[in-house]
Parts: sequence; structure tokens; C-alpha cells
Amino acid sequence: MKDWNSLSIDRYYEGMSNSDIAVGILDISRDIDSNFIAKRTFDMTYFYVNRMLKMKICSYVGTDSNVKKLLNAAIDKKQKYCMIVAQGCLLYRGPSLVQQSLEYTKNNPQFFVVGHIMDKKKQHHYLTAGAYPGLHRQYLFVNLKKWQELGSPDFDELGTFSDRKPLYRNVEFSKDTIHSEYTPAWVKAADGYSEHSVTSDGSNWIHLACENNITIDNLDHEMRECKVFLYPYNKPEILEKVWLDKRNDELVDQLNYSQKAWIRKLGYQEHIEKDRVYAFNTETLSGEGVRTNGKLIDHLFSAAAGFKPLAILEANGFHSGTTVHYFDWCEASLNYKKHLLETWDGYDLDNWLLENDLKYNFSSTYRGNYKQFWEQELKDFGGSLAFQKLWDRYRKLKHKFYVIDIVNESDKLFAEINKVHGTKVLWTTNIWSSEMLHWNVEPEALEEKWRVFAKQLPSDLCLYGHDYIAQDMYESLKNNLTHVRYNAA
Amino acid sequence: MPEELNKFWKENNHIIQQQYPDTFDAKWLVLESGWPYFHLSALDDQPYSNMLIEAENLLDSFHTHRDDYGHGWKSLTLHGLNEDTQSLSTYGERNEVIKQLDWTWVADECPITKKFLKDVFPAEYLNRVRFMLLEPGGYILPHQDRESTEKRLSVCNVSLNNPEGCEFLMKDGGRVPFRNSGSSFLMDISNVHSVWNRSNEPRIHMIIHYELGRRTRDFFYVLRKSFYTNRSKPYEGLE
Repeated sequence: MKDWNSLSIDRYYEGMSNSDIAVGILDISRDIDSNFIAKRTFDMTYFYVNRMLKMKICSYVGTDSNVKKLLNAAIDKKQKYCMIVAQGCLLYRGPSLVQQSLEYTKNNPQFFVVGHIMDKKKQHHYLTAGAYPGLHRQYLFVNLKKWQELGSPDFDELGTFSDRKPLYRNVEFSKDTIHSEYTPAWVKAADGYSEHSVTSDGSNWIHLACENNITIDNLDHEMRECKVFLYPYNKPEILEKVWLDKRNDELVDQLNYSQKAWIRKLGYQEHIEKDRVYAFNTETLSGEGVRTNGKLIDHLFSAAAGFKPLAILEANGFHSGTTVHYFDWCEASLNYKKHLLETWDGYDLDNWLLENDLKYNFSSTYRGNYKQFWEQELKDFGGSLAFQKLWDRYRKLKHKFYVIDIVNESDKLFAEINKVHGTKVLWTTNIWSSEMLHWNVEPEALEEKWRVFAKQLPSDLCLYGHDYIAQDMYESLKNNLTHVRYNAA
Repeated sequence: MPEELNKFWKENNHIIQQQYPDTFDAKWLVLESGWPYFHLSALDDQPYSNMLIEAENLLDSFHTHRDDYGHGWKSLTLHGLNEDTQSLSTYGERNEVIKQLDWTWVADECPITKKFLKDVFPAEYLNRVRFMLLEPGGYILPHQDRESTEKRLSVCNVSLNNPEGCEFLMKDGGRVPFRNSGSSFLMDISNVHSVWNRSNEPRIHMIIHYELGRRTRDFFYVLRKSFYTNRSKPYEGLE
């Protein structure tokens, strides 16, 4: 029941950290005929990696156009495994991929690499049709110890030969395939050797694995569902045009299957996001702890999402005169909050949601899941009775509502904050680090907007939420953090 | 002067502007375009003048080349079997010959040129690489190095200089716009071609035979960058 379209997913993976996995971004900008697409695909690849870094489930070893350098950097960081993701590969369910990959390592401790095996005899690529099989460079999951045992080989790029054809071990493919006839479930050694005038990316790894009696597995369906590759070198001029114009069907239809599916998904998401309502939070409710130094909250300025505002009030303490100021760019979210306050008694939220299901566009939740989400919520608040007591107190507070887009009109928010006195708390959730915002606005421009916002933060305001690179606002201000810069190889 | 040369010159000493398609396709360009030559303009900024000095310093070491159809034509091998390496097919079993190819002493004397060949030129393997000298007044009679049916851009011809009055002509392809300041061109040597140095200076080019190997994408990158640059400057070198 994970809400993958939401802004963050911390809550689903609490406790999963120090996974021994490094992540490196393979720079393939040389092959991308658009500076815009090269940069933006890098930005977005890093965006999802950053989400995993924030959750401390992997470490980042940087970007390079050479796989070997990335693997060595991972070894220097004392990691056991390394995920290589090419620029344009978006790990939008990265934490799940980490979880599945760790499970794979337990079941296959002697594995060398998991990757997209390409049977080139059955794939009709214009250059490498009929070539020795390879591993698509979009994604590799490498066992670093095994890689070192095999001599730390380079990951060869596709090759064309006339006089110096490599002699490679013959291979056997599984009969089962993953999604096409050219994507076998595994590849292993067969008898004999053959010369090849055309080789693929990673052909030498397959040959080497075969020579050492290692079977290489393909990613299974569940792993594939955690990521998408945008093929940034494929029709980049069209991709560039639809990057913001996501619902231009005439153009989107000209893209390849993966590109099309992703852009359509984003286009739909953006279309419905303007009135999307977050009944539950996907970020941890109480991870940040108490921040008001024992003072009760007088004014809470809060995004209109889930029950995190209640968790902040409860953690820091509040009184009957406390005012809750809800802001959101989405009016539907504010209306939902008002409606809930007016009509709900604090019991059986799942039933209330079912009754009002058609009035709101709830984020990725659906009727069959309301109960599960609600039970998780109650658990986090210490049970039904505890929540109900808190809800009763909270309902009686003064609530105010403002339609404000804090990214583009932060001055409106600060005008309201500066009107009141006392102990003030601001919770911005992950608005600044949301997926759609980062897709639409490059980090350099977002940073400028963030700086405008940050400059206006009063020193006596207690902060909850993240900056534009998903760092806690306090950390961000204290250390003047900035984003990872894109530098083409 | 051989009549054959004069006749070829009269018929082919003109400019033909290549028509560029809207989109770049490496395989089409190299194998299917039928283009007689292609300017690797992505390599225009290389230190050709320094490479020229290195070659000029060794002028006394050049060997006469193909005097059966050339005059004042000399070569010096940087990568091959020795400093005077001929066509590899003349040395026996090709597989065995390929294994023996290496840098010659000439390359050691020409570090800038060697660096260009090792680090910049987008091919994993070098076969025969030679400096080619055409003395003032020298010429190469019209000839072709491959059957007309084997059309493709292959060998790379690098002008370290190309003095005014010296032209490289191709039958049906016109004048190849080599730059005197240095330039690299892929050539389709299945076309009949001829060179005549009617200047007072020695002309020095470098001919690179290569195998792309695992640097195929690097090669495509140079092709792509060159394609778009050339298309935006269709008259460069042709004025």
C-alpha cells in the first residue's frame, strides 16, 4: 500500500539503512544530442538518488563516464555492492529496488552482476543486431568483491571489429524471457568460442562470467517496476519539447515506449495534482522530535496534508489558544481540511473517507486501502483513544486557511507569519523537494527561489520540513547547502 | 605533365556542396551516404601546426612512395611495421601482420602527433599511419584504392598543411576543402582521386588506417558534432 506518487516515502522504509550499497551515475552525455536533455536527465536521475541518500539506504560515489572508476570509488567507500545508474535512469522506487537487491544478494551470495541482458540475435538494433550479447548500460547492480576477484574488468562499450574480432565464450540463454524475446531471464556459458565482429555494451563481462561459470541474472519484473530509463539519446529533440508540454499527444506519440509511458504518467499526475488531496502523510510523523525548547506552540503554519500537523502539536505541546494556519497552493486540500474539521469525530477515518471519496481526489489511495492507512496512523499516534483525545483538543483550536504557493509567492506566507506573535512553528513538508517541482524547474532556478524563501525566515520561527534538496531546513540554513552540479563529461 | 592529370584537373577542379539531411545517422553517413569525403570539423582545433613542424623536422627521412603513378610523393610511417610500411596486404597473412604493428621511431620523434593519435583520434586500434609528403610540383595521378562497388567513408586524411595551389580532387566529388591550418577528413577512396601540388611549398598530410573497436561511440560523437557543425557552415573551405 505504498503511495509512490507522493512527495516522499520515508515512512515505508524506517529502519532500513546502511545497506552497503553505493550508487554512481554513469555519465552518457557524449551520446545525448541535446544539452537540455543531458542536464535535465542528470538532474532527475540525481533527484531519485538523493531521495535514497536522504533515507540513508545507500551512499553516493559521484558521476563518471567510466563504470570502472565508479566501481573503484565504491570500493574506496568500503561498500559491498554498487548500483550504476545511467543518466536518464530514474529510480522512482529506489528504496524498493535496494530492498529487492539485498534480498537477491542473500539468495545469490556469489553473484557478479544483475543487469539488463540483451540477446542481440533477437534484438533488431540498427548497429548491434546479431552481436555478442551484452548488458544494457542503463542499470547494473554489481557485487564488488566478485568484480575484484575477476580482475576488476572495464565495462566495455559496444565495439565494431574487422581485424581484431574478440574470441568470446559461447552462451546459453534461459528459455524464459522477461518482457521481450531479446531479454532472457539469465545467461550462462555454453561449449566453445566464437569470434565476433560486433559486440555490445558489457559483452566482456558476459564472456568473463561464462569463463568463470557464473550465471548472470536479468532484473525481474518487480525490480523493473522500480525504475524507468528515458533513453535520453533517443529523439532528444522531441523529449526536450515535451519535457514541460507533457500532454502534447502528437509529440509524445513519437517517443519510444519507455519515454512515452513516463511522460504520459507525469502528464496525468500533473493534471490531477492541482486538486490532489493528501489524507495521509508518507513522511515520518515524528522523526524530527521537539523543536520549541519546551514552549507551547502559539501558531502552527502548516501545509494541508495528513496528520503531521497534529503530531507536531502533540510533540511540542499546545494550548487552547493555539491557532493552526493552513496554507496550500491546492484549494481542494484546504477544503478537505475544513470539511474534516467540521464533520469528523476522530473515529474510523476510513469510513469517513469512503463516504466522501467522490468529493476529493485522494493521492494514490483507493477505497480498499483506507482502512490499512488509518490503522497505521492510529498505531503511530498510540491507538484510537489517544488519537481521539488529541483530535478533540485540536478541533477546538482556531483554524485559518490560505491559498498560497510557497515556492513562487513566499512573501504572502511570511506576511501572515509576521502578523502574529508568540511561539511560531512552520511545517513545509517536502514541497520544495517534490518530484513534479523538480521535473518542471531545474535545481539552479529552484535554488534561487529557495534562497528568496530562506532569507525571509524569521529567526524565532521553529522549522519543520525540507529545503529544495530534501535536507532538513535547519541543516540547510546552518550549512548553506546546495545541490550537486551537473558537469558533462 | 601527363595529359591524364591535366584532363582530370579540367573535369574535376570545382566545388560540390554536400547536401545535409535533417537528422544525423552515423551508419547512413559512413556506409550509405555515398559522400566522397566528410570533414571531421570536431577535430579542427587540434595542434596541426605543431604536428606539421614535427613532420617537417624529419623531411630527410621520408621514402619515395609509388613512383609508378606519383611524382614527388613520399611517406614516413609512424605506426606500422617499420618507417617505410607498405600496404599491409603485401606482407602475407593479415592476422599475423596486424599483431606486429607498433609505433615506429618516427612516432617517438613526434610526441604531439603521437598524442593526437593515441588520445584524440576516436579509434581503439591504429593500423598503418603515415606522413605523406607531396613536394612542390609533385602530383599523384588519378587512381582508386578500392573497387567502385565498395563505397564507404573509411580512411582518415589529415592535412597538416595544404598550401594554396595544392588540391585534392575526386572524380564526381570535386575539390576536397582541406584547410592549410590543418583539418581531418574521412575519405571514400573507392572514388578516383588525384593530388597536384602547384605551390612552392611541400604539402604534408597524414593518412590514418584504423579499427574502431570499443571506441565506436567516441567515433560517432565526433561524426555527430562534425555533422551539425558542417551543416551550419555549408560553404566553409569551398569559397
